[in-house]
Amino acid sequence: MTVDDGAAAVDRVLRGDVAAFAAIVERWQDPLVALAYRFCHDRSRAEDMAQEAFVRAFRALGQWRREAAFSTWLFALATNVYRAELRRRRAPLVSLDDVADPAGSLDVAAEHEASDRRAAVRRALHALPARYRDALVLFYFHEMDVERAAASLGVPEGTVKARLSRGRELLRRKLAATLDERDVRLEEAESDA
Amino acid sequence: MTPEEIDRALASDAARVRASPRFAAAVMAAVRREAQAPPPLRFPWTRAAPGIAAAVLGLALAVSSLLSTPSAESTVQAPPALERAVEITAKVGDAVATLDARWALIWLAVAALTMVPIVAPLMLVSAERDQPLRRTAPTAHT
Repeated sequence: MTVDDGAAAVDRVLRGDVAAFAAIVERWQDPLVALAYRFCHDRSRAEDMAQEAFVRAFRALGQWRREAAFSTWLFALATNVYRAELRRRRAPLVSLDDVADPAGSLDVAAEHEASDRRAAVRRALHALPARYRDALVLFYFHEMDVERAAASLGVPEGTVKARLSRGRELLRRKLAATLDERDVRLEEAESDA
Repeated sequence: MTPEEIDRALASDAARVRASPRFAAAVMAAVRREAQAPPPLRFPWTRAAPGIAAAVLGLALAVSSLLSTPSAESTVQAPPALERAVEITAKVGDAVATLDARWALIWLAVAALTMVPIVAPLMLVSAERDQPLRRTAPTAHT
């Protein structure tokens, strides 16, 4: 589906053809579920959130001004839905001081170093204040495109750049501390064995 | 952990997540329900306009009354409406305190009058309920 196809489907829906919305759902279901998953890291909840985003989009379809691409409008709307949902039913956040659980993950860390590190990054990301977390989530979701991340968040690009910089710095600092601590514990465990 | 490693970890996060096969059908079912639902009731602005206008006017009058209160030499001075309310309250209080028979009778009469619109309909309703139902008699077929 091209941008024009999107506009055509929107026009049909606005003329009362509800079934035409299926084309929009088919085209955007994977990106919207993936974006929701980045926010909540729960597959079932991600689909619930994406469904809510589609229903809201259906309700607000007439508000798409066509100055921006349909995808830009849809992602901005979905981002608002996801952020509101996270505020309403807060995901189990982890304190920045508890980002890694070295004692509990010794065996896993030894066997799956890379995946363990990714999990630590994910936990650290979700322990960040919402403004930094949202900027990072959208920046990486949009394949490091600041302009699209800014459009989804509805803030200027400069704001996104500043939040990315500060968010990355917070992530780096906490991950360095926690992963170093974990490595020390791993070495201790190996020497004990 | 290097910035590049963090970049890679964040970029790969959820890259493989896709919607389940039944997701689109579930969304379309929800959308159809949404399309069939009656539109939300709009706020009755035309009916509420006089009340809102009156409230705004009252607020404006109260604010202007407060602002027009002279405050240069005198200390804090209450608005005239408030002063009047305090005077009336004081008079009522005095009447009660001195047990002025005349005032007491007046207040009792006012209280009795306020009961009339409440009691009268109740009496009428109970009188109606006590009467047997009057059914129209079936017309006799010849």
